[in-house]
Amino acid sequence: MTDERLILEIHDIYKSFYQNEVLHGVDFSLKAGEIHGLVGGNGAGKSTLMKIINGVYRKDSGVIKVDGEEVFFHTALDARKAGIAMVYQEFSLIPSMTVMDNLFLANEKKKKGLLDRKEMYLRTKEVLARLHLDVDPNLSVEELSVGNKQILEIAKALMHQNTKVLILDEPTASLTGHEIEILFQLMREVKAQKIGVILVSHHLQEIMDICDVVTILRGGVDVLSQKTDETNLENMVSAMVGHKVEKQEYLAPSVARTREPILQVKNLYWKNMIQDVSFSVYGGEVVGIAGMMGSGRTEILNMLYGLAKPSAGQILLNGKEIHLNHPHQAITQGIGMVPEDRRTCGIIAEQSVRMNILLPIWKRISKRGMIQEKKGRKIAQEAVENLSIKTSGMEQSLSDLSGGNQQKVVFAKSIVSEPKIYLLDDPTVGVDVEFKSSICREIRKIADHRNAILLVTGELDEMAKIADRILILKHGSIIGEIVREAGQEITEEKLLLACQSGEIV
Amino acid sequence: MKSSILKERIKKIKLRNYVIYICFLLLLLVFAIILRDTQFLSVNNIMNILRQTAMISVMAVGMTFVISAGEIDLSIGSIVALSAMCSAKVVDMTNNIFLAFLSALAIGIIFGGLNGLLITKVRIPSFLVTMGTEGIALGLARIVTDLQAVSIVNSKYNFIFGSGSVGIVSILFIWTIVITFIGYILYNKTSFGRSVLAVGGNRAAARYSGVKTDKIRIIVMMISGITASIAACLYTGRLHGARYTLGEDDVMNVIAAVVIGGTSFSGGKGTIIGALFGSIIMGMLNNGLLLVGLSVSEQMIARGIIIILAVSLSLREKKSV
Repeated sequence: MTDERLILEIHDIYKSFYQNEVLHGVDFSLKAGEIHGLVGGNGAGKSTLMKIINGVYRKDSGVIKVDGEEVFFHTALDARKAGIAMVYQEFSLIPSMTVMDNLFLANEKKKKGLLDRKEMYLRTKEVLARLHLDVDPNLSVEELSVGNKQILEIAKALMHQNTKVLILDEPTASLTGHEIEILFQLMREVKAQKIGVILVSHHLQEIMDICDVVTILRGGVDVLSQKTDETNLENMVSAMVGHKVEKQEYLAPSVARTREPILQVKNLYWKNMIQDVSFSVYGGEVVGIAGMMGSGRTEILNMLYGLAKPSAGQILLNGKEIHLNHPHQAITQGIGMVPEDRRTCGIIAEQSVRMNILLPIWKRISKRGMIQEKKGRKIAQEAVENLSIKTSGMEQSLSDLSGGNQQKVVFAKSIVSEPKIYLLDDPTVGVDVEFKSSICREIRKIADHRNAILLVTGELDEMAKIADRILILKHGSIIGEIVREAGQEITEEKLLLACQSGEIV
Repeated sequence: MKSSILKERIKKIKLRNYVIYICFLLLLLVFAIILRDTQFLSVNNIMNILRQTAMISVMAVGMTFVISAGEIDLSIGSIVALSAMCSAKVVDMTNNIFLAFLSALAIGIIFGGLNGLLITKVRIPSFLVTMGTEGIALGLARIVTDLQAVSIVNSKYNFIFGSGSVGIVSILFIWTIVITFIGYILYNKTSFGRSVLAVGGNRAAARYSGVKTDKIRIIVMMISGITASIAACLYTGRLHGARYTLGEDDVMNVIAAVVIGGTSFSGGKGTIIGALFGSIIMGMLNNGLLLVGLSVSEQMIARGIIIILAVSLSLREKKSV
């Protein structure tokens, strides 16, 4: 299928943000009619590379060639004109507008200054037929399924006649199996039109299934670039993880776990996303749930925090069944959460550090209905010091803090409500390396007070470092458990392979 | 060393938070100069202004809670009308002041509660819900007496709710201070107040932190209903009677007072004391513009311009990145 013509060549790209060099001489090339997978862990530099190709960022040095000619992109529009189309994870469609109006947005067909709806309708029909998308052009986008929205998004990118390179950023993240199949079919058709496709994905199996070539980035360098039929999952995983000189030092517990589990989950179901999940967590231990995005890991935590109601199954706290309808009840029962999405669920950006930290406990620090401000200030001050939150004062508003420090505030918030069970959903997302290890120590410290910790994170090295037991979650079911035995080491590589392939080695 | 600490302190005081008081003083100064030949600054006229603005001030307390929680209440005008009719009717029939006051409060609680339930359970935006209940309450107020006014002859009622005074201090001003004080305590010193701000600041984050967001939103609407019915009693006491037209232009004045006072229209930030000054500014404007000698139409234009100016000073939303 592929011909040998290179449509996109990238040589020796360097890019720094301030002092921090993110890309150290990356090479990448894409042939016409090739589907090229781009893989890498968090912080490997793949989104930076994509944004450089797409004209959003400017490279510090290096060469980008499209069709053999060097190009210089200053804006995303330049890249667009050169034939590079990017489909973002977040949909850029306007939900209330029709399929047709979305496709022609800012590019409307006109006749004597008025919209030529007939022409646009026919063109839309034609485009949709080519993509085997059987929807009415006059349907509102909000009525489409997630899968169809994704396809429409690609259709929008292909509306421009000159598209040579199509970049898909994690297109399968929110799709079901069947929808993924349709998407892959579409990608094959795009490929047949001699368009080069770059697929950014976390799912190695997907890459193996659909891509011709895979490039793996680690730490801002391309460490592997191979035809997919000449490599395998193990190779890719070890390229992603690398051979780290620094060993993942296990932060061992200093107390024995409680005799009885604090939290038990029995045969939990939720819609069609969680299937028959059972596990228990003892006081004094950190249990990890490792799984890919979309494996249902967040949904499990949501049910344990009263944000979602299980379709079936039981949640037991100290042996007694509990029913949670609201986070308020979870907190009263001694369950605390650090939510995944800091900006929407964690912080109140316009309010102060103190107001945010004390939010869950205003009632507790009130006496005869009045808030004891002094007591609150002391608690907040202690939390700020314990987690070394960098702030100019307790009254600074959170919007002025860095992402890492904001996350620390979210963490402080759940600590001050003194739960017995901590649900941590990616607690170190967007946090600097130094704080990552300090948060790991903090997690262990909390567990050593005989609290139970359930940790969900995409950062598998962190999980390898801190978790005493790890449940492997795939498609909403627990397919295995890795127990740390004396002297045994859990490696990031082992975890990644287990999550990707579903096999525990 | 000491001076640097002082400088640091001064830097920390955000000027924006005090814009309302600066506005207040400026307006006072301007009127005092322009109207130096009139009675504008006389004790009598100042008490007059405070009397006229008492109802707006009381309702502004409730509205501050509502806007801080990220909602709006457009129904207060007709809650005033219905509560006033109800209270007047009850005192007319039973001569029981307490019962009359309770009946007015009941109207406020019922309509506030209804607003809250529709907002949280049926999930209709408060803007639309209260537009609807506004019509319902006004319709009922007109039906109660078939558009007839009700007069109140109970002098004790009239004394307590508006016509009386302690020394030279009007009872209306005392009501204003009491309600503002209760509002201030509730808003600034209790966990309820903090929850209101959290709900207005980021509802999802408040929910994740264990705040019962629906309950808070229902309660703020009820508070607004209650302050509207207290304002209704004050109107009836002051006018010795009730008409269905009471409160008909108040909504915009109350909202303007709250926002000029420094409460963020998008929720999450607010001040009760600011709202009090906001409503006094509104009263001063009405009074001053009248004394200046402007016609009603000219007053409207001048008031509109001044409100826009004041709001633009106190409430410039942060530019989002």
